[in-house]
Amino acid sequence: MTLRRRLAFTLLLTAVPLLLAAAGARYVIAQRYEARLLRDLALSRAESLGRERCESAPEEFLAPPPPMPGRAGPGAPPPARPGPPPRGWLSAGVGPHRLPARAFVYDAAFRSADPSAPEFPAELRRALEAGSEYASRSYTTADGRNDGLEVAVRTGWTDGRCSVILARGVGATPEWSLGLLWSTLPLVAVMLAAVLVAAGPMVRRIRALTADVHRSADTHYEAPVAVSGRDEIAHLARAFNEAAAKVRAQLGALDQRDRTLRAFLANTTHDVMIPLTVLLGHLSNLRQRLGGDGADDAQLLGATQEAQYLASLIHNLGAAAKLESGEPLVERHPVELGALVERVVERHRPVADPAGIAVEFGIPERPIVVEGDETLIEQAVSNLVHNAVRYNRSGGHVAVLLEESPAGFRLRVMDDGPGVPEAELQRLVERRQRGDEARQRHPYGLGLGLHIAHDVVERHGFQMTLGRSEHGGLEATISGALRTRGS
Amino acid sequence: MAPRVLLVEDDASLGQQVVERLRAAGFEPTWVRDGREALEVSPEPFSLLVLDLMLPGAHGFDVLKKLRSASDVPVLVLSARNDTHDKVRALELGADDYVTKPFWPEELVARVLARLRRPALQRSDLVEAGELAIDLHARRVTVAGEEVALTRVEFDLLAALARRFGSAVSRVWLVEHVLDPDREGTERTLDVHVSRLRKKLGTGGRFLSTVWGVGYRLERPGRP
Repeated sequence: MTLRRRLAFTLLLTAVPLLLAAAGARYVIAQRYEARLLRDLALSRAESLGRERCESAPEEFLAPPPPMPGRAGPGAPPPARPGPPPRGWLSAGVGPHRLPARAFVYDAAFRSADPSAPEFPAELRRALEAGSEYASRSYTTADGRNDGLEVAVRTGWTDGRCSVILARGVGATPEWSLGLLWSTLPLVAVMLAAVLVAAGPMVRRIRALTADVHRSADTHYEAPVAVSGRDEIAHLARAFNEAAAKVRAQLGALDQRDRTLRAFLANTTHDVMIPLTVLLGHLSNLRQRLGGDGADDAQLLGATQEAQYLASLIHNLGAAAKLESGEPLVERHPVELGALVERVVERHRPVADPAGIAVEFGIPERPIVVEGDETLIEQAVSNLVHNAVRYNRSGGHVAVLLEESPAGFRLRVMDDGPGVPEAELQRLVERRQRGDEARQRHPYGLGLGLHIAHDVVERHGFQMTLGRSEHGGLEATISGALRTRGS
Repeated sequence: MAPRVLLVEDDASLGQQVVERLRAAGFEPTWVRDGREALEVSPEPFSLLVLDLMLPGAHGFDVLKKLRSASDVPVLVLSARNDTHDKVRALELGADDYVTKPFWPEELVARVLARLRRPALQRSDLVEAGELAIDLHARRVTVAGEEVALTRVEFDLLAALARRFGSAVSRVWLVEHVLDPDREGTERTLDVHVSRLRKKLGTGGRFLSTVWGVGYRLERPGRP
């Protein structure tokens, strides 16, 4: 619900019940006032007429006064209703409708000598018997149209025929009470309009603040929001700026930590690369010297493969750090895939050759240039070749074939190794393997390397498919568009 | 005379290994361990330079910049950081190729050989592999001096491989570019042509090898 709507709703929700309650209170108060007035009229009239007159002719007591023509003014028309006014006429009437009031007298046992007197209302009788000086109640007139008011009052003449007077008049009506509501409606409407108009600038400022906050969030909370005025909205803006400063500080600290970690990783990687290269050199020298000498050679081959695995892990670590940072690829340069394939194959030959696995490659004469991060693409292809060599057996083959295709390029890494079971292949193709599975080293745990290859391919907008090679093993295909000229 | 290679590398063990390997591969290496020293060395007598980037004294980039201002000698950069930025910068400054650490000595030697071989790859009309000689211009093929009569398709096939001497050419490319698209056009026909060609070339046919998963290659003699 918007602010304006809520304000209007709240205003109506409080004003309407309040007005209804006021009308109700007005009704009750008017009713009480009428009752007292009727009581006082009845008592004062009874007193002025005197007890004797009442005792002698109770049915005529409190009879209406004779008509007073003098009051009607000269030339006034005769009264509309001929004959004497109705009995029991008390005064010119009370209450808003000015209907005539009537009164009857009763004895202490609430019996009247007047045959036209109604039966004394039981409710009022109970109230008087309980000790009240007077009691009143609403009643419905005989014609059923008007709400009347009945007041019972003790005259103070405890014995005889005139100890209680029952006066009937007209009280306040609910319609009359609700008149208050109608009369205040314009006021309520004016207030509503005033509230909505007053909310206008407030709503506008809040909207401006919202836009400011969005802008600030877009700039990593660098841009502060504008603070104007001294009200709650200004407080909110100030509070946001303070919160933004804290977020900035935390982001900065995180950033700093991230940079430190990455620098540490880069330095450590650098420090590891040199001894690892020396280790590879020693292994290569040993292999040359032993030259295929039985058991030692098998061990040396194992060591060679593990060293290669170690090197690939470190490279993948670097690639993963780059990929997992979630940042867009910063490095986008022309990458010639032919030279890249050649480098990758030469990297794996020193391990594949002694294992009896032939690694071949075919590249077109024309350079195939794509755009991307050369280190990452090289690592992706290297991971595919590494897997193909690692899970192959002596006498096996691995081929990397780079071709131009109508859509750009197609790079296939094929082998004739044991391949991957159909079910496993399906899971590899579905790619979203869980991290711990990806790290396993079991025979088909093509894992981390494949995972990174997938990520790299995806980040470059290339496609990668895995399937059975026509030669029996696994075939991984990367395809994508060439670099467009001038980009 | 053995080609001279200048190695700029600060790590003692690694430098020692590379020097030995280069020597074993038939090069005459000169080893410089310091960036400042590298700035002083004249590139004149060297056929190739192997340059590490992280050096004491002066950064490899500075060495590269100074070198490129005066010489076109091929430069192979040893990149320790697995960082694309370094490689791109090195290539921009005029490096010809790079090898990322950790590398196998064989890998480095292969890159050096590839770099030095490249000028020899310049288009020549005569390609020789052992006793097999292919004259691309005259469309003549001889084995041990004796001319071999080839059909047009057979010669085109051999010529296509000779133009990319030592490299594997894919079957698909050969089918598309050598075979007559109207009449023949399958990889099976290609295999038949190759097998006939091998027979006709006799002893020279051994240089025409099948490359698993790729296609065919005209081998350089001396390669295992």
